Amino acid sequence: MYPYAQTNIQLFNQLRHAGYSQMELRLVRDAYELAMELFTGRFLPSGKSFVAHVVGTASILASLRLPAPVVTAGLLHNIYDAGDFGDGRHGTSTARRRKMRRVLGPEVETYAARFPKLYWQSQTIQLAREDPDKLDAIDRNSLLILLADHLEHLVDCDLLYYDKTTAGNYIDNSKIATEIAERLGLFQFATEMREAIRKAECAELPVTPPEHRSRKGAFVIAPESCRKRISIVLRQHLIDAARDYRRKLLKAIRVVYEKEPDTVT
Amino acid sequence: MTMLAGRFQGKRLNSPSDVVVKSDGKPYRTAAMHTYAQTSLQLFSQLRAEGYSDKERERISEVYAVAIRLFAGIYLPSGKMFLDHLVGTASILASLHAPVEIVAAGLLHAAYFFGDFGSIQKGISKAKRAELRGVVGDEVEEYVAKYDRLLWTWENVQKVHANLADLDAVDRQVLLIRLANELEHQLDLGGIYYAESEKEQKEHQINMSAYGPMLVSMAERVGFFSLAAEMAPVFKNVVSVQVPVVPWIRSKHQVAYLVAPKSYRERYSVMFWRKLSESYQFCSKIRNRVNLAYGKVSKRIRRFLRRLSSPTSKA
Repeated sequence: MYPYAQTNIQLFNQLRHAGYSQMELRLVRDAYELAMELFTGRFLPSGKSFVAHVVGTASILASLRLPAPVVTAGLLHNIYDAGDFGDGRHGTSTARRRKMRRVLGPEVETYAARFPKLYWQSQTIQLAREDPDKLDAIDRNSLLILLADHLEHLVDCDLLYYDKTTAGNYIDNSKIATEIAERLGLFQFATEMREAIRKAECAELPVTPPEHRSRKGAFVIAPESCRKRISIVLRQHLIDAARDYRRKLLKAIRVVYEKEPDTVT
Repeated sequence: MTMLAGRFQGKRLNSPSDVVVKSDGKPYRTAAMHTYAQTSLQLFSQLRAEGYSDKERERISEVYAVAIRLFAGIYLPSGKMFLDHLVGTASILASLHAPVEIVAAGLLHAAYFFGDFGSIQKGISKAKRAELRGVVGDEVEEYVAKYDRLLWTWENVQKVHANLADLDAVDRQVLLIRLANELEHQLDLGGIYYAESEKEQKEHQINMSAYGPMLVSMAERVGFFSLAAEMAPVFKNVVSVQVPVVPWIRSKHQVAYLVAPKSYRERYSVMFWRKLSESYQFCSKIRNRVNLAYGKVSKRIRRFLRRLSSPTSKA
């Protein structure tokens, strides 16, 4: 039905059979516990849980027999953008990086911090397409995480539940990912990716995506017995108010400028 | 990489790690991945492959949206998401070509046990039933409520096993959901992963050696032969498998538990009632211990006084 793990138990079973040591399993266990905390209640537009997606990514990396820190980083690959650290912020910060480093060690954290910087027009991607031998170990492993992430989105046609533009971009980028996989010598992976792209391009969705659901990106469903923290709500209100004020101010300046350009200058 | 085998013992293999070659050269199937769905996408694809109509798939999609709401952030003690277990149970039912209402009930079977309705009250209630009936319909809700009422203790399991002939059509479907639930728990060795020591693992295996065959026999006697055929090797594997004891998840929870997103907090009313019931349980525990200690001490004192007052001690 599906070649890769989607639950922590399937992943642990897979790692055990693949011969990863007890120490390495403990590292993956620690990462999974962190993923549970930070991605809880988070879902992809398809309704698939984010935890299942990161487990799938780690499983793909494990099937490539990559070292445990890379598999672990696969479990936490989008932690700075998608993880809920409880401060209402997104992205990387020194405090967050310090916390991650303390829990998982510097190597895993480095991969996790590198991941959001790997956009498809970046220098690393260009280098990987032109001369992958010049990539250093960190860039190479981070790139492998990105490729695994794409394959995971493709293999069960999850990306088709995104809006058309995002899904189209995913497929285009996956074609670049296939090319890079071949250049890196991952021929089996490239074949699988090509097959997944072919399948995704002609696939029909088995169910219609619910209209109320976000199709841009992941969304959070809070447990019914929980409420958003007041500090987070207040912060969000302040940010919204500041944005609103800025927009109004700019509008006012534009109006004045249109009437009397010399005065404003 | 060359594909060595696509199927083994009639089952479709999912990945290379599904087969391990033993020292005697014979391959055997491992529990790394299994053929049942664990995510909604897998379930929807399976439903299409099994021939469920568009309308039926849309129905399951609606019920899945309810399951997401009730089970967001709820995990099993093994760390597996509860939602994945529900999907797995529904997938087993779908593989048996169960009617869509049964598959939907499988997707919500534990709603009254562990579903988060946002209410302070645990378990089934009229308000919860009305709420669920409003979103999934009477028939599915009835199955879920009956599932909740089916007491699954060892004594009751034996009773159900002895009185299978008395079950009506609805009860048989509820039993089917229960059996699918049990299979789902054991498919990936989930029960073994709960164990924190070798002793606990052994206890689980000893329990399964008696419990497993009884479930298989139940499935056979009620006429779910393909389910029985699926259960037998899985339960056999659970009894004989050796998994190194690693604290896979360091939670101390014995039952399913909630991990709330960090930006959210428990509602004050829910927190208040939870703390109150926890305090009550703690006080009851202390009272029981004090009673027990008092009983022991008073018994010793009585025995001592009796000895003092007896003629032999005076002598």
